[in-house]
Amino acid sequence: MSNMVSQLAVIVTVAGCLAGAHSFVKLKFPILLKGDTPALAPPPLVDPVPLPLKTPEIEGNTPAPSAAASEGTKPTPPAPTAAASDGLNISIAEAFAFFQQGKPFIDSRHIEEFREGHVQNAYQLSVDELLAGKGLIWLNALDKNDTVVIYCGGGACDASHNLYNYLTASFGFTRCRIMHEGWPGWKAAGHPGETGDPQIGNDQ
Amino acid sequence: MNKNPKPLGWLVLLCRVVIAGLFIFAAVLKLQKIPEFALAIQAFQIFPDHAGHLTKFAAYFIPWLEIVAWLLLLLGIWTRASALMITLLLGGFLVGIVGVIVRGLDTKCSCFGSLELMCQGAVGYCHVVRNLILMAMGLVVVFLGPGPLTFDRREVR
Repeated sequence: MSNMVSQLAVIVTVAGCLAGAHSFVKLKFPILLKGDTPALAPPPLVDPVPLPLKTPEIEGNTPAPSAAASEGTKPTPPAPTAAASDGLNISIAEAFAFFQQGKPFIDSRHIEEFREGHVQNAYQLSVDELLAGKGLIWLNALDKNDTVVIYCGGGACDASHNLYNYLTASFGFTRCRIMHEGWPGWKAAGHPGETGDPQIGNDQ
Repeated sequence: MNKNPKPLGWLVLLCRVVIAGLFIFAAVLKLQKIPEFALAIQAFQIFPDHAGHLTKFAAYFIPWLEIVAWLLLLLGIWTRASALMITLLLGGFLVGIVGVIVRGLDTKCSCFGSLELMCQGAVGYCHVVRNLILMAMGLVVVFLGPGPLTFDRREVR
């Protein structure tokens, strides 16, 4: 028995040494996790087009930016809500304003979930696909200094945070936002959605 | 090398080959995609978000542990210990899978990289059954001995 325990200890030690040595090998993409604070630092709060004024009583159905906002005056801070914007995570109303401005939306869920329903004209790109080199043609065609809205299944879903990490740290995107409530929140608000495959596939 | 296996020895050998084959397959797929595997571990929410270093360590350590155990199991060196190692590893996976089911998390297994061997879709009871079968095969090797075609000295009981 003690012999087997010592053998187990040797196996674990050897594996640990190999893993340690492997960790010094540079990977094509770094390991970026949700808790990696530097990569999750909020993007600049000033947008080319100011965020819309938020009207809490019609949460999820915000009208287009007001004339004052479009003239570049400082917008009134949005009223606090359950999913208040912190610069990185944005509410459904703020996301809808970006949608009306024609900003690209990226659905970070897998294709099966995307087909069941997604934001109208959204791209689809899971982090697994990104790390496998898919979607790079349309991704590189996007303006990396313009706002890009990422979303997933909402709530505890990590997919949009993971994609955000890689788009900012490895692909140079500077103004990504995360629609915190995700597709369920967008759908519940009655905003434009559709089903089926993405208009631009990741293999193109 | 032991060249006179007893009847149960062939069962042990079969278990060794099946487990070893699956584990080298799983390990190589994980090693090819370390970042993806780290994200998969994160999705299981075993470690808190601020303990990302543990997740990263596990992403490197688990595949290498699988490879070392696979090599020993296939060659028949420290066969029972390596089978026990794999069984313990499968037990750890099982705890993680059950944790995902109990907490109602919606995540894929990534046990074999992007391939969904035997069980497809989100983590569920199929993964529990698969792990239990593999654990049973591991325990066969642990309790019945190394079997034929091994460098270990012990015979099958």
